[in-house]
Amino acid sequence: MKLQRTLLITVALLALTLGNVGVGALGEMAPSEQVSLLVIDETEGIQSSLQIELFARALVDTGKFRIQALMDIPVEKNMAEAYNIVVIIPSMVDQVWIVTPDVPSQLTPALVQALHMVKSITDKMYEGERTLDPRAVVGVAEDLFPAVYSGFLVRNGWL
Amino acid sequence: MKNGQRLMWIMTLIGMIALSVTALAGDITGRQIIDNVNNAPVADDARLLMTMTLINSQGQSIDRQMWSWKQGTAKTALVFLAPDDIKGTAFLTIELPDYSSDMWLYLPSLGLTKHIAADSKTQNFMGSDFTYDDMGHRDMDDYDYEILREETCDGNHVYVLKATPHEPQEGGYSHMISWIRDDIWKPVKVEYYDFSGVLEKIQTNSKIEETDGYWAVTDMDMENVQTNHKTIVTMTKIEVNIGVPAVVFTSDRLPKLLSLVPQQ
Repeated sequence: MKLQRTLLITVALLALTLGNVGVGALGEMAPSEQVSLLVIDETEGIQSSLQIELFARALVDTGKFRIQALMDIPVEKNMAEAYNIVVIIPSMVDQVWIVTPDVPSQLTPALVQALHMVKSITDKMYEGERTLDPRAVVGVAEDLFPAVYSGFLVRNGWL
Repeated sequence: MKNGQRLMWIMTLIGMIALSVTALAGDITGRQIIDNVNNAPVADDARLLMTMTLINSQGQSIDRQMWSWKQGTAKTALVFLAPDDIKGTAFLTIELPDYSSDMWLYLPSLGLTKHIAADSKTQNFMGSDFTYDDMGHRDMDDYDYEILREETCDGNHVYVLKATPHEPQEGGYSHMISWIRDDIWKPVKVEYYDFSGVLEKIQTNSKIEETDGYWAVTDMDMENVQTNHKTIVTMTKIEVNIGVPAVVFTSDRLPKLLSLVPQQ
């Protein structure tokens, strides 16, 4: 089972890397720019929703992020500017998916720095002692779901 | 004593016992007590300033302050004032005639107003030890009631009433035991038992005050004896029948609820 999961993640990461070849501009940002972040909140509970507000407030308070939100993973193409990072809080899995346009080793230094900040705040808010909604925080290099959604959101212009 | 006379005496005795039993049971039933609680007069509308203190097992505490608007018992809107990390977060609940609820939450940092799932009623409310169901109204027909005893509690006569749901999974508890004052029909204490029948939480309504003819619990705490987490709720201001506009109780209005908070 573990081997199967590892294999699936490897395949997804390979597909993600190959899929993003030739779109090197993805995720690029100037070091001084605010990071544009899309939060996709699929939850429907009071506790989980309040935790998302606390999480978003912590990000906004750093002054480094511009945040927008949706309540479902978009299936249509995005006609506006792509986001730098997407954070998905799914309803059926106790995880938070931090979705970037590629694996961290392929991102620009500015985006890697932003990713570290998002990861650190997300860990604190969802894996800390006082969280209202405990969840494991995973990125594209750590789990199949964020890796698959990375490819999907890049293809549709959201990342 | 002749046989006929003896039979007459026995019949009379049985009749007297039967009458006295009927008189005792006829005083009040558990269902009548809970109906009295539910039928106590309620203001047309109200505005409340509340502080909710959450205390964890290590004794660390967080204070949350909120304004709440109520229309009868069916509609409640509230907005958090403090702490800063949830200021402006607003919540609306509308009790429907079938005892289900329509619930909405506004998240200011995301600019989202979202519908909350009905099954959230048995979840803890905003990190407290109260579930939404603990604070709201339950369908009284879903429970069986049994008067366990009568007691005196802080100088007041109380009925100790056990309520057992027909479907425990729906109510969140295997049963509840309430201590109910019979002068104002308000509970002073409620014990909540988990699905294994073990005591889970104790609610203590330590202060019950009258405002313009309406009785309200103004100090209460809920202690989860299994997690050692405690929530204290204090009403610092209560205004009744002030004419709260109906528009306050609409989901569209939630983002603007903070602007309705009275200047202090």
